Amino acid sequence: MTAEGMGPALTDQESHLLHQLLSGEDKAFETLVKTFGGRMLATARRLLGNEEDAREAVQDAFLSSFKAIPRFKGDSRLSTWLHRILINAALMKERRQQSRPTPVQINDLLPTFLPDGHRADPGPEWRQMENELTRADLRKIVRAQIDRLPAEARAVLILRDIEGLSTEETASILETTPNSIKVRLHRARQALRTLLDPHFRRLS
Amino acid sequence: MTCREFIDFISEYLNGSLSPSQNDSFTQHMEKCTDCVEYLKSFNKAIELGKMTANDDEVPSDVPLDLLDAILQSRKPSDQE
Repeated sequence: MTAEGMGPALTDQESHLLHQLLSGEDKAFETLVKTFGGRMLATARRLLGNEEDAREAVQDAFLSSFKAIPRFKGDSRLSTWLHRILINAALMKERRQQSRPTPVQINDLLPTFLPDGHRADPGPEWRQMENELTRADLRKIVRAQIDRLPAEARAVLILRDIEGLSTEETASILETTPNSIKVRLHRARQALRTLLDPHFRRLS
Repeated sequence: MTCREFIDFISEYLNGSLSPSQNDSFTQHMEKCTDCVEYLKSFNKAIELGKMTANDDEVPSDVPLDLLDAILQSRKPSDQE
């Protein structure tokens, strides 16, 4: 099965819009941006962590999509296709960001094990940070650690766990298989847990 | 089941996709390994905290007007190509 074949086909409303876009109707382009732009901007903000880059990524994505519409085969939802273009635009923008710290390697964030299969560094249990920090501060810590994840892991975590998309739709957006998404999501979750551990572990 | 296998299976355990026998091995491991129980709790907490960042986001239902204008304006030159 290809990644293209996994998403549901276009809705009637999307087919109608696509037809108008192919005819070059100005109003249709406005409808496209108004319908999908808000959600795309939210995803770009989560991925890139700053407003200016997020807006530029959304703008780049729409410009690419306007040019690519004649080649769109209609074999995935319009929203999935646009999200795919957005993620590519955002990741390209991120590669050019000078200020961004070098992300941690995902393999360095996975738990390590002794030859007998036990975890090498179990560490203390986590404490209830809700009693110590405001929700805003807690959120700041978590966001900062999500930002440290390698781009691919961050994209999977955001689409699946934060935006709640299905494995299949995430696979279609990231142009891979559902199985690969399951593996990547599990690794991304382990990595996030490792990054949060120093902030949450009970102090000895 | 070893601790390594337990950790490999956590995401599948959480979404209920383990087979009945895998599920039994998983819960049996939990009964005897407090380290893995703590790992499972913190793993679950990490997912929950990630979700919390989204719940607090101000997700715009509308694209900001200046961004909409910028996008539609930048489409214009390519029309004349």
